[in-house]
Amino acid sequence: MPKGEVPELQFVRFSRLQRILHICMIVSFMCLALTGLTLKFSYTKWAAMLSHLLGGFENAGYIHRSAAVVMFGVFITHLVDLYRSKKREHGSWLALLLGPDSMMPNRRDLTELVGTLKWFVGRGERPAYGRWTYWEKFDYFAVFWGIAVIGSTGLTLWFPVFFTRFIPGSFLNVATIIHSDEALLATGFIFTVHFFNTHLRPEKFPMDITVFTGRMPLEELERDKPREYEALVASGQLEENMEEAYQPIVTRTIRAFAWAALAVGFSIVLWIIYAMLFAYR
Amino acid sequence: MTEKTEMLATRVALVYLALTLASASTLPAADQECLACHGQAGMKSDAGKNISIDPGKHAASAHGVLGCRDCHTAIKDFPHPAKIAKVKCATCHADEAKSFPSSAHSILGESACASCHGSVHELTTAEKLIPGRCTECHAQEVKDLASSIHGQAAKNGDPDAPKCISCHGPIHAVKASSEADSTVARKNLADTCAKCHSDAGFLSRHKIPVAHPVDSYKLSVHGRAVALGKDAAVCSSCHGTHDIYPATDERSKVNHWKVPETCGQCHKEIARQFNESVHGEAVKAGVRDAPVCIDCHGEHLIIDPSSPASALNAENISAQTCGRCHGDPRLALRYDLPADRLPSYAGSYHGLALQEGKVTAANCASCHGVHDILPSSDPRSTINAANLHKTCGQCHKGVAEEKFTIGPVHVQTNVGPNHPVVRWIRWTYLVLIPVTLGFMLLHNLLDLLHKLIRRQPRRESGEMVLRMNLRFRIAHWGIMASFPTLVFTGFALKYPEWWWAKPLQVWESAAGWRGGLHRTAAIVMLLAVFYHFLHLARKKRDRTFVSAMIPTIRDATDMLQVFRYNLGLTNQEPAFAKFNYAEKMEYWAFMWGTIVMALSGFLLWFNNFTLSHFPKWVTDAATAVHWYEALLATFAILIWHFYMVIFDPMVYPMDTAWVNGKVPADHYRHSRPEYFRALERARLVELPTDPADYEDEQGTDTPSDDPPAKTKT
Repeated sequence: MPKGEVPELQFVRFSRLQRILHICMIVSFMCLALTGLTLKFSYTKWAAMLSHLLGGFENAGYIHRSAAVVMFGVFITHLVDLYRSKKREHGSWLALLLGPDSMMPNRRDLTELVGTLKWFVGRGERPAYGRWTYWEKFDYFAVFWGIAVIGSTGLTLWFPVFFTRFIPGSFLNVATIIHSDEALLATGFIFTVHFFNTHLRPEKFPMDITVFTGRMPLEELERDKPREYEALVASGQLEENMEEAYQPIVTRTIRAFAWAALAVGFSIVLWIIYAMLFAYR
Repeated sequence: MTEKTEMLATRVALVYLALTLASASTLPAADQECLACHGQAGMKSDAGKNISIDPGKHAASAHGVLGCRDCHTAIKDFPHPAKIAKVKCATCHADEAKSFPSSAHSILGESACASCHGSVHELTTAEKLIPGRCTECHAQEVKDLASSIHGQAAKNGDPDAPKCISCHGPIHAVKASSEADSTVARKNLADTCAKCHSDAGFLSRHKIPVAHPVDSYKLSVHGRAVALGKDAAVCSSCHGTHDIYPATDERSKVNHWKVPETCGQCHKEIARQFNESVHGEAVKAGVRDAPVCIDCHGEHLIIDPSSPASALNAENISAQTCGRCHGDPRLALRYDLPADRLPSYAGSYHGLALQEGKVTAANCASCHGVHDILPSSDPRSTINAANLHKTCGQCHKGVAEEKFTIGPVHVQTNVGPNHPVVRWIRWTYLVLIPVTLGFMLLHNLLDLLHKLIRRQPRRESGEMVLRMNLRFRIAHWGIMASFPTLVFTGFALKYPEWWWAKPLQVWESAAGWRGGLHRTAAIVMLLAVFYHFLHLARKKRDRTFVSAMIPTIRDATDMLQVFRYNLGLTNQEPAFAKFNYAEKMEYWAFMWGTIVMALSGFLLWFNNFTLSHFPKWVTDAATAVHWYEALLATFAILIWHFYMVIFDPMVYPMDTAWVNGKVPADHYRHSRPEYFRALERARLVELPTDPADYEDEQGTDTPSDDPPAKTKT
């Protein structure tokens, strides 16, 4: 940016901690997916090659468990952050859960879902979404579900001796199936639905980096989240939520990272499709 | 009291008496009178019959406890009447006597009891009679039994070992095996053997590894036929009757080397064929790995080959029966068998069609025969060069002997010996496919990266130009419908084992659904192409398309320019004519691909024609070409066409020309200036339908066809 030019002001959507958590989440999720899929599709040549690159199946296991620890850390940090924001901003859990910017699904999401479906078939205007659209809320809670299911079964498989003091040994077999197939679902979901919502929508294509920079251009807010925009304008709070955009060098670095993640994700999708078409058993 | 219970009471009383008098080795005092006369050795009746008795022997006999008058009840006093009623065994032994007249031994007549039990006064107990006494008449059977596994077990004191009566039933009721209710009658024999051989405890005690032999037999063709009263093999037909030996014993009828002979007792013609076959010769030469009858048919559970459950069924024989040995790498090494027979068959049309359920497709036996399999060098062999036209002609009607010059049959396009033409085709495509697809990937990736990095804003004036008129769209719709269908149904033939191919196989065996769909789609595609030629020929305006499609030197320089631009070597944006090099490449590649696929496809569709007019390598070549070209076409569409019409950031999410023929004009204004100016001059740029969204200008032009040729350069 040339000197003397006033930097563009952008709307702040994510806090610094949230952005860091999302990056940690991406890194750990990619590691988990890659190392886990080499095990799930171990009968494909691809898996053998990839596992070789990662230093063998044993090494892949270490990477897998380390990444799982990071993922648990992300999850716990987020919960702590939620708790702190409750104390700081909302006062009570109820206020946090039922507030206007809450992630909690509500009636309005249902009407917006119906409105969106109507818009898909050209029978109405696109709904005026608020801070979180219903698909973003779904993504958010899907992670909770995934952490609970994949995390608990993963711990069971990590510490089988300890857990079989309380549960029958046959549950280990069940846990293997659940862990493996739920993970396939999670991977498939993130790399197709989540990627589509954030990167492949025509208005976002080829990439939306809001989650990394934490800020989005005002016109994007106005277009994508009109209800939130109007509420902010009406309450006069818009100004205090604006910050300067990052330097191009920063956004370029972010883009490079995001492209790498996107490339890995789409490669995994191709791999899963290949495995499902020509190798699944 | 009935007669029977009365008899029982008498016997109990007699046994009691016997026990109390056990110490007395002599007859009671009253009987001493009888012995006064009858005790003299050699005493004869008037009729000359021996009527003397040896009191010592009598005392030691089974009847030893009985006094004379216990049986000779008619004698009350001495002298007794000259003529006295004959003593009836049945008086005491009513059960035995009752069943005896219908037994096989009743032919012995009056003296039947004595035939086995001996003189009544010196009677031996049943336990001591068997099998010694049976030997007197059944010498061979008893001898056989003694040396058999059953006899040997008895000799070793095995409590499970069967005696004569174990199989033949109670000795006084024993029936000839020819009688329906005999325990060893053909119909009942399996049940008799089952008494021991279906008992899991017995099988495990004696370490007999074959599970459920009798149950399996009952399900087999033999067991079912016997149950229906037909003449078929029963247990003894194969295992022997009294001379049963374990299969490891050379004397056994079920010994590996004896199997063809044993089955040949009934299946004479088959055994003859087998003995002359390559397998039979090997068996005769002592090759343990060579199959005998049971190695293919099974032993107890021999199922009709027409049943889908049989390993010899058309659907299973190649993989489950022949493949068991001919797919075994150890046997291949040991006997120098060609190792590629199975994979080459499985990859051929015959193997693939069979795998998707088309049982009419040839399996191993269709060409090689069944029991009469002979090496191709044998002039009698079905696969001898001189007989091939007959063998293949079973299905491929019309292959004429004089023209049918066949090449190697078990060919794999990717490995092994092939006709040079097939080899060249393979190598051409192995170079062509990676080079083409690699070029496409590289070209598109560079283009994508460049467009993403420059993040050129999409101009959205709302102006549209007509890119494809209805006739072009109709042709494209035809191809849109047929191409994916061809890809799906084609790959489903090549990969019949995958789940996504299964829906197509549901009616394959009955209706040839997958193949039918493939050929229908091929016709649709050819019709679409034909329609395209037709409207080009009829409409002068459409014909301008052809001249615009002709590749020129400029296309090459354009492509170089695009590469230079995308690599950042120049800042000069490339500009194209009506069609750019990418579109021209795709159009002509499509035309070329259609010709190649149609030609090779028709050669395979009408394979009888192909086989009777050309050498076999033409079929092999068509198969190879059709496969490789399909791979190339599928991936070319995915990489090249889909990038151009979907993933190119300039047209994302989709170029909608295929729907209504129109595309946004902005793209062309910039990248194809000459073409755009020509469109403008011809007033063919359509303004926004809802101008309020864009500018205030009103659009009046209605879209029509492409601009006249003269306005183009």
